[in-house]
Amino acid sequence: MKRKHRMKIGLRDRVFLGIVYFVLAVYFLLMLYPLLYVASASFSDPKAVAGGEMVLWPVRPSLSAYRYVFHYKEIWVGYANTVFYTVAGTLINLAVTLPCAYALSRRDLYGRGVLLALFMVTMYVSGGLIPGYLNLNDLGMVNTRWALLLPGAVSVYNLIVARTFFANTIPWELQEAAWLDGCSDAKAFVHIVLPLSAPIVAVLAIYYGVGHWNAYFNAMIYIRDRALYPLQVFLREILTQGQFMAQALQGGAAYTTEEMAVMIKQADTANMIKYAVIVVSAAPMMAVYPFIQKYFTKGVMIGSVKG
Amino acid sequence: MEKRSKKLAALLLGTVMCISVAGCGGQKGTPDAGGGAETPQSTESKAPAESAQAAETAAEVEELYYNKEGFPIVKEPITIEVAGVQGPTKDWGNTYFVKKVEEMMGIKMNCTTYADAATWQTQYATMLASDSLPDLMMQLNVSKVSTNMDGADGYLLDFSDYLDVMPNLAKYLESHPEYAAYHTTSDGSIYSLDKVNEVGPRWYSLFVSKADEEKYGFSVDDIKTTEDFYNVLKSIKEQDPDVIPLSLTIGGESGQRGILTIRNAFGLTGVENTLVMSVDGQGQVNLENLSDKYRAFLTYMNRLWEEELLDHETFIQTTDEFESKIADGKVVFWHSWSGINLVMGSNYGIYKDYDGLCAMTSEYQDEPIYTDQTPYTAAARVMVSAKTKYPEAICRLIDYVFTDEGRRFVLSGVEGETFDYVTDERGYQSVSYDGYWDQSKYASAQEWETQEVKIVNALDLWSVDASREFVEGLSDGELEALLDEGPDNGCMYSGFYENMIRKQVDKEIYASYQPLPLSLEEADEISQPQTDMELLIRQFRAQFIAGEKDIDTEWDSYVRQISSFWEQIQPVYQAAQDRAAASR
Repeated sequence: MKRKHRMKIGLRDRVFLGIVYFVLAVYFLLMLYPLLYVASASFSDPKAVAGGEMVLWPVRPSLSAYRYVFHYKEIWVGYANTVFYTVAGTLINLAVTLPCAYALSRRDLYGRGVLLALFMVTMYVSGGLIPGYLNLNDLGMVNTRWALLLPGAVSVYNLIVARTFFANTIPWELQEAAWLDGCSDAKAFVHIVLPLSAPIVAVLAIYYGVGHWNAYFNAMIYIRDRALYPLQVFLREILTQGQFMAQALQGGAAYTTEEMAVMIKQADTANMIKYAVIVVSAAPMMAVYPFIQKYFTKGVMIGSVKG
Repeated sequence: MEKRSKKLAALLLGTVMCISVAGCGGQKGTPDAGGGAETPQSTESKAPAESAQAAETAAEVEELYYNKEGFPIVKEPITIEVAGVQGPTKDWGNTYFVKKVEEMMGIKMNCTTYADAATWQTQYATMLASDSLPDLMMQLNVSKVSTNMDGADGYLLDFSDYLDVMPNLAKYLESHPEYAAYHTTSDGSIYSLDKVNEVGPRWYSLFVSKADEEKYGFSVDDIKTTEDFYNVLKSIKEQDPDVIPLSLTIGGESGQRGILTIRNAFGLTGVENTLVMSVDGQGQVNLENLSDKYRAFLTYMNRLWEEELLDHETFIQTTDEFESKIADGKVVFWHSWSGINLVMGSNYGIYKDYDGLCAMTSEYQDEPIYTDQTPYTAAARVMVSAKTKYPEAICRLIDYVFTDEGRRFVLSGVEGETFDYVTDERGYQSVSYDGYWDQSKYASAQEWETQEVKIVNALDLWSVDASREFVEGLSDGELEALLDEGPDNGCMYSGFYENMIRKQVDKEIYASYQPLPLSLEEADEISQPQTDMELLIRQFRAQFIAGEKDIDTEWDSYVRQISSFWEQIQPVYQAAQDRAAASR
């Protein structure tokens, strides 16, 4: 009969492990509580939530918020737009970032150091909001979908991660062999390098995809047509609507009693649905995350310098 | 070799950069700046003042695109770009107002709205930078100083140049010099218009339910002084230690109107939330936050705090938490600017179950007074781009609002098309939407009105609260009957206040200090010190009331610190006050 040999853990190590587990448990609860709170609040009476009655579990549960959300047409318009921007935007990001990273990883590219330095300058210095707006305005992209797809097509951070991956992971000799056999740079990239780069492609797709899914600022600045808004902009509108109404009611003397009654109802509706909208907008990413988690953790180290 | 290549590359990139910077000159005066697309394109962009002057001669009147009187305003339909903060009306383009303006006046409005003021400010900045301001901007609540600054820089239309096509506004400015003074810059320009509440709704009091009055054995009619109020609160606390006798929200800059009832009782009749300014008989602008009256007020509030008669969450609770407490019956006296609606919903009949406390006296205030809200908010609501192609047409549209018919149009539409006038048995003429509103889509006529009839708070620049005018004309008996029996026609709110004021108030006044426009240099000069001073005042107020600082030992230090700012600020307000006084 085989006996498992267990290594004896000394007292100090046990104490240390205990502290580590305790700290991890605390962090876990700190991370878990907001998620549970939002989920519970989405099923609770909004007045109970606002009044602080709801601490963890739903109070006076109902599905009225979700019912309202599913009938709120603009949310579904936003959803469709967000899916489009995520898919199309990520494809554009990859189509631009990967070839650029490959080119910069090639030791035979003259001036790649200078080019990379110029790219890196943009990580710290930018033109700002107004020059950016003027630029897109002159290019005719304001109030079009392109305003959310093209600016930021290359994230320099991701570019550097990909470049490092190509430089350290794809054997130079393999590429040389391909060139010797008459393969062009483009063919070598498509047929040899890319198939070997599945991990980095997955990592970049995730980073870019999550970025697109959560993005709202560019849409807020460059888009005026509500039919083009992504979901996060509608979510932001709902979240700020309640605050706006409350501030307007408290701060201003400019509304009739009938208008105030309508504003109160709008603020109440906004409060009722805001947690449900948060759940609805975050649900896809949360559902997908368990399947792609390993790529996230890999992604932290995948672009690092090896050996 | 490598070094040489690097130098060459650096030189090349530097040259490219210089060329791109030199090419950044761009083109000015693009044809699309701020205009609609459907009119004949002019090959030059004229400044508005020049176009107004050019059209002066009789021979050129025939060539004008607009009609000086009557409707339609324009000879050929035009399209203008309109933008603003969305507010309660979600889809501006879908409203009767927008459609009727197109039909009646020939002006089609392409509307773009933004969710909140912060989004608007960002968009406004980008529009200014790209010279693409919409023709008409409304439902704003932006600083007068910044609009005057933008106007002086040539971005905004100067209404004073177009008063010849705005006779109603011109007449209003002449008959209301305070309104004119408020809107006019030091060089005589008017770059924005604000709403005037000529007769506005009453706007503050402390509320208490009649059930609580009976339960705790008191009546608001017996509360005449601040000491009476203190005794009542104390009695409530003794009878029920778990209840909160008085709850307010004094966090930040908003939600503080409930405190006005108590502040007025100490002779502090300024209406701003933080700064309490006044103008004395000699025209001197004073800061009451430094006065003995203010000290007495803070001492009184501290006393309420120490004895747990004032809610200890006063400075930190949110509106939602506050409302929730009131709805659960945990508070006896509370305030709400919008009245009982805010917490009880839109049920006008509920006013008969409540009483209000709106005036008291103290050793600093002999007679019970009620400060009416200032007719103008310290903001700009409507602006027009200086680059618009249709300044006269837009000005005529705005001018229409300053007629009785126009005022009703922007609020309710057209009689027979969206509403009917209804006069009840008491003689109150109200607007009824029965027979017009879509009951399948909306829970109430008011909701339909704010979504499909008008754009709330957009062009309704001239407000007269008809329900307040009506109840002020009722006898005491008629007023009581109104409160007991209804009708539930929107008069209850005004009736409630009128009843309270008749019983408790000797005199209604306006605050002696009214907001006045400052020049750009003046605003710049006091901007930072005023911000710092307000922050300090709020901080000290909270600390004195909550007992964190002892008012007796720290008062001198407080006065010293605030005075150091006020000495810089006072001359600016004094100059504005002197200008306004000279122009009357």
